[in-house]
Amino acid sequence: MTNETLQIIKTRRVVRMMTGEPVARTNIEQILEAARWAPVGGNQRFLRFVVAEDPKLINLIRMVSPGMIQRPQVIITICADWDKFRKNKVKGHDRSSYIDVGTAMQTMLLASHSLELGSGPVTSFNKISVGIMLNLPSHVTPELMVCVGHPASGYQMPMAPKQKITWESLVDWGRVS
Amino acid sequence: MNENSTNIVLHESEVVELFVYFLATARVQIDDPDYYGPMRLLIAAEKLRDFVSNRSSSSLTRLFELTEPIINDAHIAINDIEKFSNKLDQLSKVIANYLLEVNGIEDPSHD
Repeated sequence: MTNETLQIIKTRRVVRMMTGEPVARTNIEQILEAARWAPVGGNQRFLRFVVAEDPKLINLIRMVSPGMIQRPQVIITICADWDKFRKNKVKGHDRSSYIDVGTAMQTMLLASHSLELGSGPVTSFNKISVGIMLNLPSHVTPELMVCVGHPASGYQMPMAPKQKITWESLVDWGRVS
Repeated sequence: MNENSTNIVLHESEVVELFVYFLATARVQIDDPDYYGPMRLLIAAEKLRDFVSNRSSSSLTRLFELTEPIINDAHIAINDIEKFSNKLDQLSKVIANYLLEVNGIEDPSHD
């Protein structure tokens, strides 16, 4: 019997080619609900999620996001609420906050894949421009964007790995020799 | 006016997209890895190509056709600096030869 969760983890890829087919609102909500269940440091909630579905707004965001190769139907921007950091007396740029962004991202990528949607993260974007486009208040900053759409077949422009990666090549057991 | 000096006018929306891409990327590139810089320039070149490819001369179309597969290969090789550099070297040769040819200057290596 196959483990469906492990299969989803192993078969997920960053999708850089997407069709123009819209993504159902119910699917977007499922992805966002999954993100709510992502682990966060200290069980504190510093993240906000801003969803762009309007094609015009998506196009503008793409124009200031050189890392966004795909043409997504939906962009979910993971934002950090710095007021909450201050209220909770967390030091700015605390490492756990960035880990929270990563766990939310990965949870959404896996949720998207499980719904047979393609997704990909984007970190190379102009934060100031995107903040203005999304009308973010000054204490909320965009940290990472998750692009979602239906995957297109064909050329995906993958980045070739520098070397073949196996899990064994990444692991040491016990004390590192 | 010969074919190689045909006017190609960009639509204003295309100019905006390219202009904004350069400006937005200038800031992004401060935080991105240095080797992303050449990749961003390739993407800008592709944007320009895609904007005009359906109204370019046969000569320019040939330049696009000569360079497109190499650009695609370069994107794939981005994590291997040696391969990536080789692809950019290839592009440098292709564009130099193209410019010599369309300007009627013979390549001395062919003598």
